[in-house]
Amino acid sequence: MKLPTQCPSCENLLQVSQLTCETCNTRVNGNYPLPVFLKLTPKEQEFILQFFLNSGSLKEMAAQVGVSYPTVRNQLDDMISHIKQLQNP
Amino acid sequence: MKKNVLLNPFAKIEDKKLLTLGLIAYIIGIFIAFSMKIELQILRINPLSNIDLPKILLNHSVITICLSLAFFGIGKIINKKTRFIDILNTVFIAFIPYYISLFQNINGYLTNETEKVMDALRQGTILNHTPSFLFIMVTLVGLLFFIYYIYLLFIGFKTATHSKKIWHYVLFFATLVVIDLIVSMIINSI
Repeated sequence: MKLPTQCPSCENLLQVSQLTCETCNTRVNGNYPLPVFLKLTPKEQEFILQFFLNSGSLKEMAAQVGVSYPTVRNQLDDMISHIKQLQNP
Repeated sequence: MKKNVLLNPFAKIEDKKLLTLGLIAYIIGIFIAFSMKIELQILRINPLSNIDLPKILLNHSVITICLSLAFFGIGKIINKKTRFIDILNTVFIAFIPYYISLFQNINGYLTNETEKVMDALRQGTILNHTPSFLFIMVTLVGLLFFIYYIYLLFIGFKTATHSKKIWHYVLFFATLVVIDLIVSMIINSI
């Protein structure tokens, strides 16, 4: 099941407001912002996962995905600027 | 998939494959220009009556080197991560439709038709001169290949430099025009 990160009403980012222990059913309430990784789109998360699994080699990643090196590098640059935006809104 | 490759081969095909294809096209292109008796420049072609292979080879090398260096220079200004190989591949691959367009001068067809138009201009009978349907078609097809050549230069440059802003595009087209004038001067002085 996909974790929703955007409000379906106003499209702003959601926060975690409740955590539950599956064993004793203890509930913790509060306002916890989502980690940066979870704020990314599923496509961006998949990109980071592939980047990690390819030991950070963009060339290997490009060969695996079937696109050219500049395309992968451009995607990475777009993601870097997106993450910077999320860190400094 | 194939359609996408034609729209942007630089986004899909590996750089080494592009370089190999580009180098083969470069060599074939020189022989096409020689057999069609056409002098290639960046934004124009000149049908010539006398032409020799070493001159075509030299001209074409000057065009490729100047264009690649100029685009690499502005590419580095736009994005420091720009690689020379991606720019060189852009120039090599973009020339392929340009080479194909040279076939419009089979048996000196373009030269002869252009000469007829020039004669009509000299004699002042240009308003009565009606170009043949074949000439119009050949010119239109040549124009389409030329537009595709400029498109490939642009899309290859865009992919290599990750350019997105209007001033990046203005810089690209301004460089193209300026480098065409410079290369034209170099070629004419050789």
